[in-house]
Amino acid sequence: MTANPHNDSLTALMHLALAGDATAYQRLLHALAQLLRHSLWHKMRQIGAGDDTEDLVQDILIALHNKKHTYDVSQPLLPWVRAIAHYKWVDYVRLKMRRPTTVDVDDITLLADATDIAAHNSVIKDVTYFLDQLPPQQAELVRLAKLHGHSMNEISARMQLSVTAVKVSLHRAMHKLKAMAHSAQIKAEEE
Amino acid sequence: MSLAPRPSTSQLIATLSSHMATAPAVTYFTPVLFGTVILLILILFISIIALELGLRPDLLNALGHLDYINKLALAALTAIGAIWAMWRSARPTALVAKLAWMAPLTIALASFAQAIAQPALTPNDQSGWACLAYVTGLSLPALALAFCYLRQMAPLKPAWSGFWAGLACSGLAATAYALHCPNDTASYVVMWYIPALLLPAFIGSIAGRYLLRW
Repeated sequence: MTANPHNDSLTALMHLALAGDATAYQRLLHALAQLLRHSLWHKMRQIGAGDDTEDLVQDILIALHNKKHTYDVSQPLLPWVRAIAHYKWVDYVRLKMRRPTTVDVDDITLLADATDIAAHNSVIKDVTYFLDQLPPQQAELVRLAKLHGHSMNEISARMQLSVTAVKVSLHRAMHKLKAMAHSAQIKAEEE
Repeated sequence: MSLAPRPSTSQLIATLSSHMATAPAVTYFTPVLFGTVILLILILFISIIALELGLRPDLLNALGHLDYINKLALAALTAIGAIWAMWRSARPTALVAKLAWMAPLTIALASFAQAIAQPALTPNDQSGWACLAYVTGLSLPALALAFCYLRQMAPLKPAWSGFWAGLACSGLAATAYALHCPNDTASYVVMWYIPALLLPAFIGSIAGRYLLRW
């Protein structure tokens, strides 16, 4: 970093804040929150977690606050912010992708194993983003089978397909969804 | 979906700001304090070795011999490099300098080369086990202290920070132990000193993975 740290207004705000200026700190945190919101938004959407963006922004603000003594005042502020934000982002992705209630190729029962409605709803919202990327018929099959819990016979009748065709198509769709979720996770961790 | 900030974030910011007004940034993690604690730990280690095992009687004489300097330098340079790496790795933007490792690495490699040339030791050397035991035994409490420090910091790679902490502790302990240890051959160094240095480092890296996350 060759930029003069004192030309950077955010760095200047941080220096004031560390000297005890709470108003400067407040302005700084609002500015950082907005920056974080924008840079995280697309990444969060890609893993189907758009609604959780603000939660992650808050987590990062708290981390910045708790670890502010690790900021070197002779250096510009933003690289330090980015490093902490990235650390929390990777943590979030790992936590999210480890949940058992995501797509499972072998699981013919309802997607949401979780018994509480909140977890069920957020799983549905995660999957919806990926579903939109499937061919319409496959997406509909997944919705009917997994989200609405219809049996193979019901789906076959509704969509005018043989039960075998339904099973094969559904199997392929689940495979694709799993691959999408997996590559989104890898991409998120690489950043 | 909108990018509008939520009210709870504004509340959070207000809370954090009021906290800032009443309790400004922690100021005690200064390099001076850090260095002082390290020095005190080294002095403690040397005192324990001197009292329990006794410093080697020919210490001043040995300092004139290359073998001994080699051994002492390996331990001391490892300690210095690891302390530096631990300090840097505890902060989010400081890069850990790789050049710091040239010195101890060179000595370690030189020792390996020499040891291959003169294979004169059996593995059942009692004093070797004592070396391993003392260095590890001194390192582990110091490692616990190092972890107390690191948990207050923000290491981006917790396992690595644990590794540097373990190596710093073992480096200091090995430096102290070298003031007692009478055996200066390269084979001894390779067979006992290098594992003694690395064992606490690996313990630190495994512990760091779990204990140094934040």
